Amino acid sequence: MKRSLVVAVVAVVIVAALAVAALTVLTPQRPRIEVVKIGVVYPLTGALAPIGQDQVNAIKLVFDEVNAKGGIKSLGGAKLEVVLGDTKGDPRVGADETERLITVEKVVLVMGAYQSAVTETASMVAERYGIPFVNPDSTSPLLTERGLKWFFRVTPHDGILVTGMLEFLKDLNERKGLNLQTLTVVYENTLFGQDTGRIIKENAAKYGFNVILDLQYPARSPDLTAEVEKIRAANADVVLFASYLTDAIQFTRKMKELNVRPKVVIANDAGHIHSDYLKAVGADSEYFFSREVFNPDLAAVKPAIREANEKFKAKYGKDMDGTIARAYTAALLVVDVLERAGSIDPESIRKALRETDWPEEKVPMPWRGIRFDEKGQNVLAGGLVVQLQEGVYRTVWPWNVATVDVKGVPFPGWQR
Amino acid sequence: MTELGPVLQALISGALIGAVYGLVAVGLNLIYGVVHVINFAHGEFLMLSMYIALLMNALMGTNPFFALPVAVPIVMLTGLLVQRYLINRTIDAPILIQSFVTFGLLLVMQNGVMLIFGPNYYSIRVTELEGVLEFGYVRVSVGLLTAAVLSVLTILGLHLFLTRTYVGTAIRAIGQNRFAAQMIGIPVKRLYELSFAISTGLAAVAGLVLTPLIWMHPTIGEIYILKAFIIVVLGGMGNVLGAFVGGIIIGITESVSALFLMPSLKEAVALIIFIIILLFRPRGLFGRAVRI
Repeated sequence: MKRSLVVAVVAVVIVAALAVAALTVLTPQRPRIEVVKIGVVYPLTGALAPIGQDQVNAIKLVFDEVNAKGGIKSLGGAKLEVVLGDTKGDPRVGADETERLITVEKVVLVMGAYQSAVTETASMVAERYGIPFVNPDSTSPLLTERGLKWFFRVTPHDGILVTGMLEFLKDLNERKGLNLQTLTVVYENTLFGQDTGRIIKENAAKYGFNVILDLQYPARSPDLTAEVEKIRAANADVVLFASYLTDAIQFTRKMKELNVRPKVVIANDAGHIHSDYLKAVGADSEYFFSREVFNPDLAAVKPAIREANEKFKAKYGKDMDGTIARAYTAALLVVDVLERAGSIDPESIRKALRETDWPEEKVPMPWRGIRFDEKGQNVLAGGLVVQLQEGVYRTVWPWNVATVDVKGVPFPGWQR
Repeated sequence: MTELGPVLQALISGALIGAVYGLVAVGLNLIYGVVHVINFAHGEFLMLSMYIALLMNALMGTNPFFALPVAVPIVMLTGLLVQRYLINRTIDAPILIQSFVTFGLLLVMQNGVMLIFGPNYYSIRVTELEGVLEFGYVRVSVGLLTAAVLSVLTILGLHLFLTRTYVGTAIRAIGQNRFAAQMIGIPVKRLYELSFAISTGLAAVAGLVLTPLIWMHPTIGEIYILKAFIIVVLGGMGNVLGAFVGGIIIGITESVSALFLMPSLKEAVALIIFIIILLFRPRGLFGRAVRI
């Protein structure tokens, strides 16, 4: 009996000692976080290297500024560190690099990767490891249709951008008291054109437009007379193009030659806003519209864009373009998310991303803000419409970021 | 008129661009008919003359048509050297080997130009040719009309040269029987060189007349060479006139079928017509006519 009492006392003492030891070892405040590693995967060698480098520069610019001002405050002033991964523009390499950043470098979040195909594979790796993937700039609609839990896309995707053109036309009707009804959609026969054509045809009726001519043509055609002849015969109010450079030039020349004058000509970006297009037929395409994601003149109407552009230009000596501005925006978002998460635990970062609700004035892009839906798509992002006025593309829509008013509607004709 | 207008427009535009296609095909056909070599690089000579025009335009502001007296001789000289140093050496080799030579030439020329000018698209604006002639509904650009007229004149000139001159007759003789021609004292290799130079010269003319109408790119030759192959077979291998008529047929077929069917089917329709014609005339439309 006495013996067992001794055993019990000894046992209690040991347990108590262990508990105290455990408390002293485990609770001293969690080790201070000195550095937060952010993985950044972009094409840094190969044909796309200049674009990838621009984006990395934009991200570093944001992080350097935060670090200079004392780091992430909710993490005790932790500094942000960019860890680069070079995708070489290859989906397979992009996936490998993302894996390396997550497993070897222990990054808490990954940003990238410009090309939709690379973003697709890289974000799958992040998903597997449960690390948040923030995509500033890939526009394939399918990326947010994969049911991923850790993928967040800040940019509008092609579906939003293309239907944006229809929204603009509807707004134009209302604002200018026009009665544009019929639509000819002209698109080249590769993926880009066919996607545009499909999205327009599926959605035109919703915006009150009737597609009267559905014109798919072979890309890089040497002669587009017959195509333009069909456009002329259909005589729709609006002609919408999805063409690359060479076809855009040929269409404009032929339309002038055959004197085809739709009330509105609008293009889905690509060839019609290329600098070589403006050189070749810019004077003729005055008053053409184009869909865009960004335009340099926005700095004049939105302070957040002006501020971002001034900082970027001061450091790198050139103006931002849409890709740079989106990388910059995503970097600002990552800083804000870490600040709100107050932890580098992936789940709390993901939660902070999901809870993002940025107002319009905070975003250095012409968007209504940043808020993610359950698929990870920023639902407040949208496109722009620009118009060629006196040889320069000026922002005309959405109305709140327009720098000039819409002119030349209906199209006054070629002989000016 | 409203019903007839678009059809008439398609016919006329198709015939005009078809004349230029024909000019490209005639050069290809001449080489096949005389030297019996398939010149895969034919389109690249067209491209070369475009870039010479571009260079002259950039340096001196020359109108592409005034570049003719410079660009055509340069391209012809290139063609002559190609025949002398590449084709003549493989003249008795199997057709596969000969094809490798001209196909290799295609790659070298494309990538050479890409190395110098980059993969950018260029275009030359010729304001003098931007006018439009109106005939009721039908509108024809001065540039396209000029291109077609120059193409027809060039082909006519070639035809006269081949039929009315002594040298032309000798070239045709080689085409009919190389060994017999050699036996009666025709300098076969010399005339091969001349034929190759003429053929590339035709491509150079085509390139220049197309310059104000289209963009240029190191790979632009491919667009025209593919059509030219179809046209050559359609018109009859080795037949100059046949190639010209074949060009116009392809041009019209493409523009009319694009009008009535989907434009993305226009090349398919041209190929279907091509197959149908070959079913009934296996040697081409003018296959039975006297070879040049």
